[in-house]
Amino acid sequence: MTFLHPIIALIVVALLAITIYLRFIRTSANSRIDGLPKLPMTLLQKRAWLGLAIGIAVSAAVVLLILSQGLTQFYDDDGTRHIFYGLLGAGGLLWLLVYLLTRRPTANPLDERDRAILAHAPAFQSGLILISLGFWMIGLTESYRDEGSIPIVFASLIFWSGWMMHMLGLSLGVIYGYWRARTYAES
Amino acid sequence: MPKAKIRNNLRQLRFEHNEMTQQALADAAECTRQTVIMLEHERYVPSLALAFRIAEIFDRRVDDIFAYENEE
Repeated sequence: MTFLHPIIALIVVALLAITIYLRFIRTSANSRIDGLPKLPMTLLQKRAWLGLAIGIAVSAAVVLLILSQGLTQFYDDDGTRHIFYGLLGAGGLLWLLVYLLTRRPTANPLDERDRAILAHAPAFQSGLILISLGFWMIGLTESYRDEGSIPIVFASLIFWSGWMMHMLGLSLGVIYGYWRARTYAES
Repeated sequence: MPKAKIRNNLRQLRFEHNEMTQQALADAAECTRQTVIMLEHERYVPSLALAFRIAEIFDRRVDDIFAYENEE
């Protein structure tokens, strides 16, 4: 069934491309609002970019670590596994700190527009997590169909990739929210 | 559903109040400067609470500042 892999990958990429085109490019061309000055970044926007940078750095480090040892072999080596957990744990804590500081009532407060954008961001987050689960489901099913079972390491990888998407998703959702509010003039 | 727009004269009011800066208005109204800019460009419809806070800052009634306009 390996001949199916490129076809499935092609279908997934095509669907993503169509979605991006319809959602961002075509609609933007019709609805973009001109004449707005350059907007100063809000506190939440700055935190979202910082959160995104942390998420990308952690994800890249984890992917490199896994690829250096092999997708299924890295979990057998105690040292590599501990570095893997350390990276995800430290990255997650740093990311949580960024957002907990933002939500702190005594901090420079978010206004109603920021709160509305923050409230809509989890929709983006859950979408990304679902997409990552879809990739795992298709990839694992097609790769291990003949064996009838998958190595136990994937249980951990699926969870941690969901956690990484969770980190990236909130930041991307907030950044998208500000882009949308500016482009379509709604919040 | 007909489209509606909320017009406002915030920019004019700011200048009538000793050329109040956007940041000063944002601080007084407890919102961000980005929100003030979006309001002035009529790209954001404020909540009732924010509209009342802004009206209080300029010592006006809400409908002296914000006006509903039907774009049917």
